[in-house]
Amino acid sequence: MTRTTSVLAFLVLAAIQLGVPLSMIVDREITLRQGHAMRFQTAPVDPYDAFRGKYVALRIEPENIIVPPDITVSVKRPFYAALAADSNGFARVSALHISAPADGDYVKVRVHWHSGTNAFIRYPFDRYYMNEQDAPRAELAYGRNSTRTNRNTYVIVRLRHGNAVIEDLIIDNQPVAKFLQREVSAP
Amino acid sequence: MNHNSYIRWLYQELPELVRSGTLAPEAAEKLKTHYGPPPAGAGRRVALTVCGILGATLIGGGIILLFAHNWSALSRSTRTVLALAPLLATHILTLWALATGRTSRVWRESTGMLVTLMLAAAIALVGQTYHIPGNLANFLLVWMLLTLPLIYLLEATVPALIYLPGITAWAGLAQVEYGHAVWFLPLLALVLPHLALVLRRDPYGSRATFLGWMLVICLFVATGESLEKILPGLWIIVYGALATGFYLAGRRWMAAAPSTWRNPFASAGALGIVVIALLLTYDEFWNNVGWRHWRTGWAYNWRVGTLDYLILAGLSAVSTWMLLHTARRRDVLGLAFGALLPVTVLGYLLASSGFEGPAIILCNAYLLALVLTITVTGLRENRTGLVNGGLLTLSTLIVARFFDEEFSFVMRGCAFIAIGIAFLIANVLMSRRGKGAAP
Repeated sequence: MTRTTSVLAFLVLAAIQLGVPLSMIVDREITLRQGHAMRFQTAPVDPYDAFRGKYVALRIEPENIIVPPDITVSVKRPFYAALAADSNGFARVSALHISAPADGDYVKVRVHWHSGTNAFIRYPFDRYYMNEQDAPRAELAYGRNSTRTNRNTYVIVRLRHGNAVIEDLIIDNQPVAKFLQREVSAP
Repeated sequence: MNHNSYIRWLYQELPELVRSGTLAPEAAEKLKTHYGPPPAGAGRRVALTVCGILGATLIGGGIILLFAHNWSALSRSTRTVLALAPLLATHILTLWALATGRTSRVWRESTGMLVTLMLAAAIALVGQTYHIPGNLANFLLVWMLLTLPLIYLLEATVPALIYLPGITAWAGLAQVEYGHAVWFLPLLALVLPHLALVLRRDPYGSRATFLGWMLVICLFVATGESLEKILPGLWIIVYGALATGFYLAGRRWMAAAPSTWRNPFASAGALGIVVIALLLTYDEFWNNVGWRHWRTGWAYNWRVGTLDYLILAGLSAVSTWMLLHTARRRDVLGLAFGALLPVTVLGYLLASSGFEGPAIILCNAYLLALVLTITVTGLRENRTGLVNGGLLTLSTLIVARFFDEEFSFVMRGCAFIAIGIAFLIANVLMSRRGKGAAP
């Protein structure tokens, strides 16, 4: 391979290598800027991922949905959950489809367990990355703000054409970063 | 083929050969003219390459750790710029090296390593910034596919040394995530031309050795991960054929290797054969195998399972062909190791028909015969390593059997003493033979 060919071939490869993370960025930025915001109730915990630092793992509700009689659920294929807000303003699954609905808010989900007409679904957002010092503190904060009588944690997710990107994790009606800041500055 | 190490050795030997009168000075000069000057600075080159790779690894690892820290104080746009900046910087560095003709091994391996690591960091940091769900299988697949062209473009082996364990890890994760790892073999095939090139250039050089060991280890792991395992126990023949194939290939095509380390195929194959044979002397591995215990369920994909039989047929055909070739050459040691394949086939047929006991006896008999062949060959050819290897395997077999069958302390004690004496006698004999052969 001549020097010019090597340089040109490497330029193409570099463009592709940069293009992959860039396309990930562009997709999510468009969703965050133009997508419709919905609130999902959560249950954070704190595992560790060697590649990406610490994050708050999210259990998104509603997990348990009723499967329409015309749909055969399977753990092997994705489904599309049409979403609507309930009386408290939190997302609920209004319908389950095997293909993307033409309009309205929806998100691609996977069924990880089903029995009869009940199915447990997994949303395409399951973690909120944080500083390794903040993640355990966020988990503790959740413990205090997510009891039977006091459920004050949720995530704001932007939805656009089936794409979903988490905008913020809310604890006690404040973005988690602000909540933790207030905790530190509190006497 | 690169003979650098031999040429260096020859240049070291020549003065002594001339001094002792073994070689005429004119002949020594003719040899020097024939082989050319000794390859200078090889040690320095290796040290530079190692330092370059280590430096790139440390810098890359450090950047990944800094990213993992996650600066929550930084804005999203700053973090996305930071995610791509190191990758772009290593791209520019590599381009500059290519454009200015800096194509030495140090440059190629170091820049290859840096780009590979920074690529992973970029994808991971974008995932972190946008809270993208963690799917390690997808992450590894994208990373490895984007790394692959680097191996060929830079003709660098370090990215290949990352690619091989990368696709192996992917196979394990894909089996759990998607229920099959059918794409492992095509992914493996994509890196084989590089291995062939490196082996052709210098089969006993450092690149070929490291790549060979990595390939063998990854294949031993990934074969088990890729099998769909619908027919229980099929792994016995597949692994038997794999280990046999590696051993016979190494023995046939890399026979001139200066050390066992430099022949990863024969070394790992021999070790694999002994370990597999030893495992198959336990009844646990023969229970519930064969066509009377087909597996069903969502995790067992029948269409993907067909690939198991293709892998089995392919590996067995290649290993049988090499075994026949070994038989024609009357290579007794090669035949003894290679016999694992027919032993596993026969054992599997017996166990599948409900005769687990005879299958276990067959494997015990095979291992004993193998150990004796290794030891006798070692004694005949005066190779202490072979003799000790044979006796060590025999000891392992006896320890395994005695713990397995619960023989009495007295019997165990006597057997250990007998083998200990055999070790000592063999080594004394070898040592005397060595002295007798000395001038």
